[in-house]
Amino acid sequence: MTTAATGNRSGFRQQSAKALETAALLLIIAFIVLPILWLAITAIKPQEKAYSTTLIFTPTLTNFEIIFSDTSVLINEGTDRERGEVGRNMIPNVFNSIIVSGATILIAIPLATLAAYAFSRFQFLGNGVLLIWILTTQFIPAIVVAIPFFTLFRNVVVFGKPLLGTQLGLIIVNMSIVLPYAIWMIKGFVDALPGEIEEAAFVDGCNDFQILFFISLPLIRPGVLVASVFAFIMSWNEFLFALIIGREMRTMQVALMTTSGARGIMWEQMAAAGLVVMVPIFFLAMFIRKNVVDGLTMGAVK
Amino acid sequence: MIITRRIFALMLLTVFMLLPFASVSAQDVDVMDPATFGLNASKPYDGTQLKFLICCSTAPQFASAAVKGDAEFTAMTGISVSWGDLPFGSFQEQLYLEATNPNTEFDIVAFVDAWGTNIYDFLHPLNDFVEEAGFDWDDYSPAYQGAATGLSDTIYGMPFRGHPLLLHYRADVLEAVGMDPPATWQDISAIGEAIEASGMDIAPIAMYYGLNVDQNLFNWFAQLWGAGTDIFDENWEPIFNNETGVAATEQYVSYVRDGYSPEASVAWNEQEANQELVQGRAAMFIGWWWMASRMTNSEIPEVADNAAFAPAPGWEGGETTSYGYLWAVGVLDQSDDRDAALEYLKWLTHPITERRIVLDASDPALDTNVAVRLSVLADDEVNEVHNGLQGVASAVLANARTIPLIPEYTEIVPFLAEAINEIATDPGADIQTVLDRAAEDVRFVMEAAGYYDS
Amino acid sequence: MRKKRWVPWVLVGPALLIIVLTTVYPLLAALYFSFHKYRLRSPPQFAIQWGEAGLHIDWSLLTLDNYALAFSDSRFINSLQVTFWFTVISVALSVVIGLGIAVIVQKGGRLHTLTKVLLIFPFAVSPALKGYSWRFMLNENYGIYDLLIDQLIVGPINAVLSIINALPFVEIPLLSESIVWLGDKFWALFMLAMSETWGWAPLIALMFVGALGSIDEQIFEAARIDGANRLQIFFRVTLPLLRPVILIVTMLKTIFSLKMFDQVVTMTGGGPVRATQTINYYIHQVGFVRGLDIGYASAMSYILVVLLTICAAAYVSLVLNRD
Repeated sequence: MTTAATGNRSGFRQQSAKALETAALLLIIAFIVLPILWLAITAIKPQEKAYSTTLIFTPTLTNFEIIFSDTSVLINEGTDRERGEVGRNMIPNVFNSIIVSGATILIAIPLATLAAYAFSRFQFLGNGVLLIWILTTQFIPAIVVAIPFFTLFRNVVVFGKPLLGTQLGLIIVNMSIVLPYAIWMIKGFVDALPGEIEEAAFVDGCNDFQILFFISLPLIRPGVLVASVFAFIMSWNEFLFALIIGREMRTMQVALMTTSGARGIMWEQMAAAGLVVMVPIFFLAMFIRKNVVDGLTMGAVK
Repeated sequence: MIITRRIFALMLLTVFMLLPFASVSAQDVDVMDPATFGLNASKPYDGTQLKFLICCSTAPQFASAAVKGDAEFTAMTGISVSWGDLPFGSFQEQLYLEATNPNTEFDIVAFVDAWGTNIYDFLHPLNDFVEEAGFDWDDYSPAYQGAATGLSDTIYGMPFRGHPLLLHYRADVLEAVGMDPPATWQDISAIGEAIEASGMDIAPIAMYYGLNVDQNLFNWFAQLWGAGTDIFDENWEPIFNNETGVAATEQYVSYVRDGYSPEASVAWNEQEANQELVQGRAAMFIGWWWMASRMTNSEIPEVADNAAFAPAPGWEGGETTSYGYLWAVGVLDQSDDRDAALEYLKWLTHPITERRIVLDASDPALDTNVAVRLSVLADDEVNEVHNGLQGVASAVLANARTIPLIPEYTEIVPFLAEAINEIATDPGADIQTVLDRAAEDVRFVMEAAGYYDS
Repeated sequence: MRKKRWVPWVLVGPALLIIVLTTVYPLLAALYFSFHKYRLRSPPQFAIQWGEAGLHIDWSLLTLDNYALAFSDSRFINSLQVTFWFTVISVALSVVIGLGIAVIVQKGGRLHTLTKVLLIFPFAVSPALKGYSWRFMLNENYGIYDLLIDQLIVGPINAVLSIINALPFVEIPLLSESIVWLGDKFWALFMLAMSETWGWAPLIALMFVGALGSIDEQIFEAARIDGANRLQIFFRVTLPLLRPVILIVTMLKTIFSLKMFDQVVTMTGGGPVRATQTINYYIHQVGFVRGLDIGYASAMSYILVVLLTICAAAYVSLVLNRD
């Protein structure tokens, strides 16, 4: 009797613990997903429903039409609430984001790969200190980097244009955040690569560069890809440099600000633009899911 | 004055159908003829590309001017103008950075009155331009003239977009409590009491005390000036914290402290407060005149059908005065194409262009009521199309003022905006103490800038 | 090991050069600006001049005024305090919630795995967008957060309180359903920290999940055999084992919090009053929006550099001591 009762009680306790755990998991999911879901819902809401919490509405693509159109768009067409809205034409902003982030990784990743390889495979004067120093550059507040580059880029003219407000200017400044992260990330991948293959190649008479390009690089390619994606996300989401250095050459992050114009923040348009900014990054983030932690902590938490 | 969109559209249609007959007097101009605008017909600047630093390309007035410029001005002169569309939120800083940039690519800049003070040294004086173009400077109200010249006689920018403050209200709500639209700030409290007593489920007024590009000062200035004091005295000593200033501030925050304006208004900006009116949650709102159409465009029939406006209130027994807010357009001194830029300015701020922009209803997205010239504001046809809005605006502008336009203004104005925000946010805050502290901060900046040296 | 000494330098050189140019140059330039009167309104006069007679240093143009001003500027002091409290709240919330999530999702199970996959989502949302969306969702009229907080938290608590209040001699004030989240000094800062926590806690959870996974299961088994319950195991075994990771994560989050800027711009604008003006935000305002005072902005950012250097040193020694 007594044993059966305790058995029941512990069974009950186990069950309630399980229910509690499920509830906690659902709560965590809600905590994470709600803001994203709400943004997605708002993006397809008609303008007049965006300023309420209602979930009853007819989905519309008008908001996307407005942010990508360069002429005026009719809202509520054919009804007595019909009116016009000037399109925001964010297509150039999308391209700016793609060009800046793309060029940033095209420049940063090859350089970072070479450096990371050297840091991992060679003992040279001060390499440990150098590596730590590269880490500490990430503690410099972005505003300190932005101010001098801002004053410098006003006066540096490249191709007949001052660097301020150009894609090239923003790419240069982005290097200050992307390169150090990429070096640390890729170094982690090179470290994980067993050295025996390289040694064997060396014995076979390959020189350092042949080993690097024909033996090691193909092996760390997945790691380099992960670092590229990480670097792409970093420069895609970057805001302060884009604001101060990018100026009129707006990336999507800064273009989000244009949805707040003379008529206040148009939340439904902001949400649509936000979705455009966010969705590609979701897929990229899923791709490097297992490596994000390494990237953020520069390999300090393993 | 209550109109629905449908009637409005009908009115527009009528106006358009009558246009061929009625237009003989004013419309008999050829907008594709350079001579109409005094432009140089020999196209000396053919092929010049100008860059115009401005925000908010989706504002109907700006969009309309840009579209017409492309189609007409460029055809007449060969000069093309690209409008740089900056986000409003970062426009102020980008304006400074470009204007002070020795290598800037911009030729023309738009600036809000207060922001201009920091870049006067970089702007080309326009006094000669106004004279040569044959423009009548007195076609602008004193507030706009002041905002365009600062404290000097130099014209730094041509008035382009200007706003008087209007009371936007729900005619049905005021009618239900048997009240006229408030003529004074004190009347608002009385109406608030009546609306509250009536048990109607609507906030009497939506104020905006939040921190957002100093919007919470617009109406405070009106009360300060109306009550008979100012920000500075003639020696640049802050006096907004004197007895009158405290009384004005007390009245200004009384709406939220007495519960006539929702508690949330302490964080609202002008737009958010206006939304309350548009969404039918508030009965009154005091803000720029261009917002009138937002009420008539409301999705809620009660709001759209009962949309009404009147001049912003004055001070009981005192002056009736308010802030006339101005966007001016100037030409950068360092521009390589200054003459072409001036040519564009001639077209852009010409009375004919201005009038055509407010009368154009061909594209609903370009529908705007904003004009700055008194002659356009007084125009019968314009008033007919816009339901008399411009006439009311002229009346408000007649005794509107501008702010103290010194370079230090942008440095001291956050102190004022923060003080107002603090008084509104904290119901227990002592107004005198907070204003005194702000005055001290203001004095510090003014002293460092050398205003008290002599 | 291979011999050629110049090889590593050739490999490291280009990257190093770019890092030096993009970090050391601005650090030196900002330091130099900070000792000058330098406003964008007028062309600056710098102490080091190239004249006809070559290099010339005009010492009279150097000044400590900007640093003196910083320590007497109540707004700068305020921004230090705001940054401090923001850091404390956001770090504490991120680490505690992150740890909580990690402990819950760590075990196997389909829902656990799904949650683990979702943990990466907030990383994809840029800080600027985070700020905008939170501001939208906290709106007291149409914000989904505001609605949920009122319905799911304030409502039930008030219901319980009213029952208690029905008893004689008890009178507990009810919670307000009309809190204006971004209009209240404390709540605005708290919500700013919450938006940051939303982005970071899941990432921190991922870090902890990794660390928890590497702990030998036998240690827990031994504790269980000794009769420890779950709570005891968590506090006596798990936490001490995680200590190094917690320290590193805390340091890392502290550094990111001290740099807070994006959401202040897009979510609170520094308000109400000055309650959410972080150092970076205030520097940006002084340098680019209000006084256009690059000299003063540089001086303040250098004070921030000093603060961050201290944190960085702590972080680096932590990381090094681990290996």
